[in-house]
Amino acid sequence: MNQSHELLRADHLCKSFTRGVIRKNRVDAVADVSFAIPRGEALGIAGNSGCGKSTIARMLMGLIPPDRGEVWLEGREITGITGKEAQQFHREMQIIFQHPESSLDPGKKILASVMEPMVIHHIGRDREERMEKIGSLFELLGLSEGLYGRYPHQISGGEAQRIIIARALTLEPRLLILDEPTSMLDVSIQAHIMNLLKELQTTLGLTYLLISHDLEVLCWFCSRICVMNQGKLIESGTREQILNEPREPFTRELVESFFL
Amino acid sequence: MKRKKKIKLGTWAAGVLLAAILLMSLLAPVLAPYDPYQLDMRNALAAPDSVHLLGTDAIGRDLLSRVMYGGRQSLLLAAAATSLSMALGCVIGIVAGYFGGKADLVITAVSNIFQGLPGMTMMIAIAGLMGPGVSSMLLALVITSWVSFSRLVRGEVMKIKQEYFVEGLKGLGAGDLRIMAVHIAPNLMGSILIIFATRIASSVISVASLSFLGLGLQPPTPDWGVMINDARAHFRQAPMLAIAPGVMIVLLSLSVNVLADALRDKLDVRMDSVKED
Repeated sequence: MNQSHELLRADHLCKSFTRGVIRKNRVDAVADVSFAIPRGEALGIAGNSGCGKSTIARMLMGLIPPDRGEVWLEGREITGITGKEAQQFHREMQIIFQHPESSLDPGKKILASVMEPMVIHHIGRDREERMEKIGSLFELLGLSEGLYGRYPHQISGGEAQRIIIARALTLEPRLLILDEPTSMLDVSIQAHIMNLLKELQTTLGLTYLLISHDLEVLCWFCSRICVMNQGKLIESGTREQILNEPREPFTRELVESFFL
Repeated sequence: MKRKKKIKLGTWAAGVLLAAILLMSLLAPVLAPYDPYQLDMRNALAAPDSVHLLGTDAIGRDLLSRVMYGGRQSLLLAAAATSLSMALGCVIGIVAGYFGGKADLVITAVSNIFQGLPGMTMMIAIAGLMGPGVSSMLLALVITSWVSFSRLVRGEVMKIKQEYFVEGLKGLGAGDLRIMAVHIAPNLMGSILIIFATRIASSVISVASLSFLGLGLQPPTPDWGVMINDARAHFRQAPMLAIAPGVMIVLLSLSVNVLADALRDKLDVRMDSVKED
């Protein structure tokens, strides 16, 4: 895999948290994790809860600084950058979190929340142009314009998650990080949203990093999968490799728990 | 899902009472039968009668007119002092709660010191240092009451900061200032309003107390606190001189307190039922 081919690369990311005041208790949330995502592909990270998956997502987005290691986006290092440059990379890379209902400001109407990123990044000349863009994204995601005037507590979880995806897409990112995007939704809506995301991959040329505990979804959605256990990346490969010839005992257990 | 809560009779009464007091103060120049500064030594300490409905004071000024004018300055002062405290407390509280860490440590230490200060003693000390008057009273009120705002705001901000939407906004590239001003501050409105209403009641009392002690508004200003102080020498002959302004202070702070309580009941309900299933 050559350099120009990959969109995002994580190099030896480490993060540990300390708890307690008198007796320090150090937890290695992420230990020496490296991976790369080729342009236009979907990479999956599998692992049980508490294995450090979400910490990786937050480090990639610059929401928490890594202790060691680097994040590269298109050959530029983006670890610890601030100001104008950070604004630029926020436009190219967006994250969708696990909790759709609480990911929107409860005091703002949907339209204001969806419009905000474009205001922050000065996209679109005026309100009309932004409205037009929101309108077409809502149509793409099968959302009704009647939701504009609602508050977050007046919409369903599935609608909220699609609204959040629409909001991220207003910035025209090239990479979407999906951190357990459907784990809080019921099964039929899960499938609907994952199908939508898969369609967007081809229509908008998106690259994905999907973080999930659900190996079934990962295998359906991603061409390559990394398996994490207790902060370490223990195995990675194409989905066929992971499914058919897992090397590590943990991976084997994981596969068996889902497909046997 | 809006649950309509029945407004209690007491709340209604308090609201009507407060409105009446405010209206009376606002319209005092029109409503008052006499000029509150007009001396009439021959009629000094007159008993209530049809000419002077509440009688006159030691130098013959009409008591009813003075009572009507008596709330104007202190109400304005209490409102101004509480608004200033609120602004100061909100800014400090949001900064402490949002950034946490060292900033929070320093601010919490400072506010603990301020909270430990005995309110009235501090006000007397400030008025003593700066000389009695409106500006020193304002300063004294702000210094002794901003902490109650900043503590509450800090706690609320720390709670809101944990919400996923704040992290989501950071991921979208929103700056700290934007998150604080556009997203956190409006979510605080309810709880700030409650504290504001509660504090304004105690500010009214503080203004009256300081004026009574001769450290706030000065005679001959018609003010309830000043009037009670003036009445001390004569209230055996003319008890109405102390009773009338005293009753006004009690009614005002009572009605504001009752309304503040009602407000808290109402807003807390709404805040608890944010989630709808």
